[in-house]
Amino acid sequence: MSQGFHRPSTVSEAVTLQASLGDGALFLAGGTEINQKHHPAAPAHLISLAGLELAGIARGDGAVVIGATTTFQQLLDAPQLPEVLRWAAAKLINRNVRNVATVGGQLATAKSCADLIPSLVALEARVLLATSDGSGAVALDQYVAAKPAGLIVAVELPDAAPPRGVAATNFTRSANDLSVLTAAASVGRVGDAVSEPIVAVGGVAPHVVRLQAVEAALAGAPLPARSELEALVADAVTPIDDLRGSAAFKRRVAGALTADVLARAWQATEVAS
Amino acid sequence: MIIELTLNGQQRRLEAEPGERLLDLLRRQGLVSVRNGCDGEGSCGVCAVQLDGVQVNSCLLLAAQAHGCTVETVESIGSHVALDPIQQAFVDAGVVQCGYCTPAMVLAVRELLDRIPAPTEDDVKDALSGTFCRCTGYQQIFGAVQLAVQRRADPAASAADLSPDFRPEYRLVGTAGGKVDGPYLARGGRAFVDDFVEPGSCVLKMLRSPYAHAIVKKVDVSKALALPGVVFIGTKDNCPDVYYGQAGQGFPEPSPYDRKMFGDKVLHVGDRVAAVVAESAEIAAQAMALIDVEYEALEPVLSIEDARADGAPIVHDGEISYVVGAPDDLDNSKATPAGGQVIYQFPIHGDPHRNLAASVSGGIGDLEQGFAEAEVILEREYYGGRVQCTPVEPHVVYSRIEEDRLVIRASTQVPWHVRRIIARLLDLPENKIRVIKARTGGAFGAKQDMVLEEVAAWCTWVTGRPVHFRFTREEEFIASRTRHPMRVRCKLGAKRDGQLTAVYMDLHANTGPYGSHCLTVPMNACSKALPLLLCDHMGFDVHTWYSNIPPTGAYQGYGAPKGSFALQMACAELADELGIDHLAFLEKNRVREGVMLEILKCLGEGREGVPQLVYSCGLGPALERGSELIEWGQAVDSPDPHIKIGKGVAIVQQGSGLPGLDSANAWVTQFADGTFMLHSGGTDLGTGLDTVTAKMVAEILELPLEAVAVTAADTDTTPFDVGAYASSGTYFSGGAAQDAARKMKEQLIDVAVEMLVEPRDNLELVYPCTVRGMSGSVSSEDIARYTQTGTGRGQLTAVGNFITDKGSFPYGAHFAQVAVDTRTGKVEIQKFYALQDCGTPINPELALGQIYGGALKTIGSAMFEEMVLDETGRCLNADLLDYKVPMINDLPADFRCELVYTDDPFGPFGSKSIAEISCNGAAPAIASAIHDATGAWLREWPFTPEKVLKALGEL
Repeated sequence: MSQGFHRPSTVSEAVTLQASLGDGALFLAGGTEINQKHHPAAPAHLISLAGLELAGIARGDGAVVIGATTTFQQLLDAPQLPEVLRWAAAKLINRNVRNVATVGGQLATAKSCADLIPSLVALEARVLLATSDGSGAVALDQYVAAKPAGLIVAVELPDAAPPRGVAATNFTRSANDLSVLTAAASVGRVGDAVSEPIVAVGGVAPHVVRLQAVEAALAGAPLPARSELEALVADAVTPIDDLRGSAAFKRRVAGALTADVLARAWQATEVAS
Repeated sequence: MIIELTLNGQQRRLEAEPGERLLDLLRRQGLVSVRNGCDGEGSCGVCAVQLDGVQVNSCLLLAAQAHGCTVETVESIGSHVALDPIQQAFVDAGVVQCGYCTPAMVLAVRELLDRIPAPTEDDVKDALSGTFCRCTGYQQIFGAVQLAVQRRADPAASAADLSPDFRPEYRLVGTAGGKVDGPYLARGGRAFVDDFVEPGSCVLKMLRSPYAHAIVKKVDVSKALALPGVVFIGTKDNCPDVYYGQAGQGFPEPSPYDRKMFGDKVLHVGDRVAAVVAESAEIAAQAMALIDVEYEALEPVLSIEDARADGAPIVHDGEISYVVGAPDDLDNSKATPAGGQVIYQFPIHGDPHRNLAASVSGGIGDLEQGFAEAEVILEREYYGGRVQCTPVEPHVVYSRIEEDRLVIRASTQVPWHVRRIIARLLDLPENKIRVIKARTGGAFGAKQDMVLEEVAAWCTWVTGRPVHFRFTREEEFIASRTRHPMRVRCKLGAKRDGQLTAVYMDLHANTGPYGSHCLTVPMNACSKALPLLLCDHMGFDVHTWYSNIPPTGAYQGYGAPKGSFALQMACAELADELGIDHLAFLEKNRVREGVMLEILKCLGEGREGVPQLVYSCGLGPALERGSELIEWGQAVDSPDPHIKIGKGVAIVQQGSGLPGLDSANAWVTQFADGTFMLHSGGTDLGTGLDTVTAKMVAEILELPLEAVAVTAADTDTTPFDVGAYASSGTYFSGGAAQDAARKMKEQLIDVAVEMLVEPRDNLELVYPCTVRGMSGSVSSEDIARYTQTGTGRGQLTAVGNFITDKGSFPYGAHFAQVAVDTRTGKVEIQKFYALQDCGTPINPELALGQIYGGALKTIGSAMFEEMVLDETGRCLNADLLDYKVPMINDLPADFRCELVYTDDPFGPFGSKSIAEISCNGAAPAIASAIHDATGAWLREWPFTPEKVLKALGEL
């Protein structure tokens, strides 16, 4: 049971407070993870972000900036956002949770099967962090791998130039399941060749990963046939056996999903160009 | 800390504990509509409230997060006399069943209609995507929302289009509307056990075994008892030394007495070790951590194969005895003291010293001859694992002493069985105990067994303190009841033209640690599967094995879903092998009106059975209508070569109560103003039984429905009824109400003979409850005043009873169309049609709700529901995050249930049962559709994508 509940009104106040309270203090946004029954030991202090006014979607300089406490329902209801992001927001469990859960909360939790993360990685999102020492930005795939300290204040989506194709999909056991696997891809096109592909998959490692071997194999060549893509991906991932599926099953489905999103992303570049 | 918020329109300053959830804060304010179904997972949504105008789960929010916010609960909608149009639409459309989730749904729909005044079905799914309802199958909610939309414009808009009418000769029977408990459930009123717990009551928490199989060497509670606020701790060292069974079945039960309240051995992970009664949940939790338990771990038995193996560890290795009929070769020489006892009321052919809990064999004709006559013989094995009933309200009881008597308010299917078993355990006469069934937030068989009531009752009786004991969601999985895992080998013989010559089922079931329903559930897998087929030579062998998995018991459908899956699939495989259309095969071999079901003489559930004549059978029209709806025989093209589409079918049946075993009783009492009270023993689980019985009484007494109030399932104020199981409600409890009403009608006419001084033959009872003669008429009120004055014959009370030796069988056909993704193994149910004959549907909208709910439960267990155990017997997914249940977005794209009318000669008003049968068809219909799509046979459910890929040879 948490003891201290703090309501700072500025980002600097919040990060200073966290620095002084130490590891026993957690930032609280929507709380759908922290307040969840299975969340590990309740923190000694919670620092509410409600007074920080971090919610909202704004057009920045060459980027769209999504405030950390923007809820999933707000993402879903924002027509100006890329379709893959709105799709990923809709995949979060159900409307009651989407009304509370925040973008920053999902990134800080960084679950392997969080649908929003592959889509954001495919869109080359950067995480804007505030610490008591200052502020910084880090690419999302780096963030989920290293989990640097600091308060997530926003996510920044750089404008894609030239236009890139992007697509995402997931695999669940039932409608309200956390994804067993989730995947997104974005590709550019130079002539008939794939350029600068990004392939991000969740559910095959402790956090969402970019499949660099697959990206390297795709870059600079026409998109391979679906069966070849499936095999490439299946070789590149190392999922574990658990009650949601065997490793062999997950490898196969990761291949199928990733081949799907690559095909759709590639198709989108044809439309774009 | 102080929380300031606007709660249901009022500025409030509330004191909250640090870390307190908004859910708990709101319930402490008496807002009982805010409910708990998953202990803070955020999975079920019945705790939903509106926070600053949007729907949120109050279990996932700290009270502190609501500071400065506006919070609204369903208590802010409507009033105690009038419902909001959304609530009224929910009642009228038949989507208020148990009512536990209704307040959350009403709030969600209100928010939806504020955002989108004319929502599509997808909008409704989105709004309700977070609300778990196990009763309704969701489908009728779309109609309820459309009705609410119409009512916003036109308050008089009719619900008549939402469900069909039957029996135009009646005013109420066969016509939708009037669910008697609907309004207060839709309002979120005080109804469930939790809502009656008074401040200052003690909380009971159970310390449970971490081992699947172990001897409990020592339980040291001294440190825990020393903790201030701990009132009492019950263990094996102080509990009653009485063996009993927890199955709520008629006495003498066919289930063995094989447990004490706390045993010297624990037999499953989650078995009871110590009951801690404390002044708060927090103190109880602290006390549990202070109890020292010494175990001697034993090797667990987890599967049927484990239990049968030579040298297997023995689950019940104590003394075996029989109340009557002990076999001559009974051998207790190997019994151990720690093994406790197994007491059989009568022989059910068990042998616990080789882990056999029960067995039975039987048949008709000559199987050998039948197989000799066959031109084709097919033998296949099928398996179904563990699923849990998951009522949204878990098991819960509140016991207290009132006027020196023990009063137990419980969420139970069997109040009289609970009273009987507790009286024996506590050595009390039954007249010292009152069991009141509260409204139940879903039951589905899990609450046919007494899994917590007796512990709370004992603790109250010992301490004198009120005790509240509520299962956690985890306990609901590991310590309540689950469907028996079953392995069924079917062997069929047939002529080349498809005529069956022999049908054999060899069934092995895993009962887990205790023998609850160990004979009857597996037997029912045969008795509800075999009589669907006409064949002169049939046989079955049933064996039920003890093990150390979580306890099994009853679950809607009883054994039938698994027996039906096996035998229906064997028929599908045989038809395929013969090259005969599956539907044509079923048509050739199926049961029909007028046949005598000889096989039932050997399926009597622990006694001699009785062959039954099939007087009514709607199977023909059900198959015809279903094949037309699904366009049977027409292939469906797939837009994607990796996606294969196919269709499947299964036929289903059930019984209507247990003829010769069950008994139901009812009283009808007249009040001074001419209105009536029905005292029904029937146990309404949200199914609408109280509405069924009220309608029958009002119909017979020529009354408007409002003139009959119902009180039910209270052992002090209503007469004996076996309870709600075996699909007995409408048939038996309805039959008793009908009998009481008919007798009341006779009494009314008897009195009118005196009052009008006319011969009986001149008199008739006409609407509104008026006896009309040649010379005049007397109203019910006239009669009441005449009888209740100092010169009258006394208040009119009629006593009704229902017993029968006649079985009435509901029938049905389920059809599925699936799309199988051969790259991922994912199966999408594109169409699901259930066509069912329940005789006369008394409440058509509620009957349809039973079908939708039952079918969706089995769609869940066919597609993804499965309790997974590790090698130590621990359940790895004892929560709703990882044990997936169908939510509204899991609905088949096209989901339709229809009622096929027949008139049964024995059921009241021609009715038969409806609920359980609905669970029997989805698994075989879907599996045969998967075969039609892909050529692969799925013989083990659930049909997970991984199993589909394996069956396709792709993994």
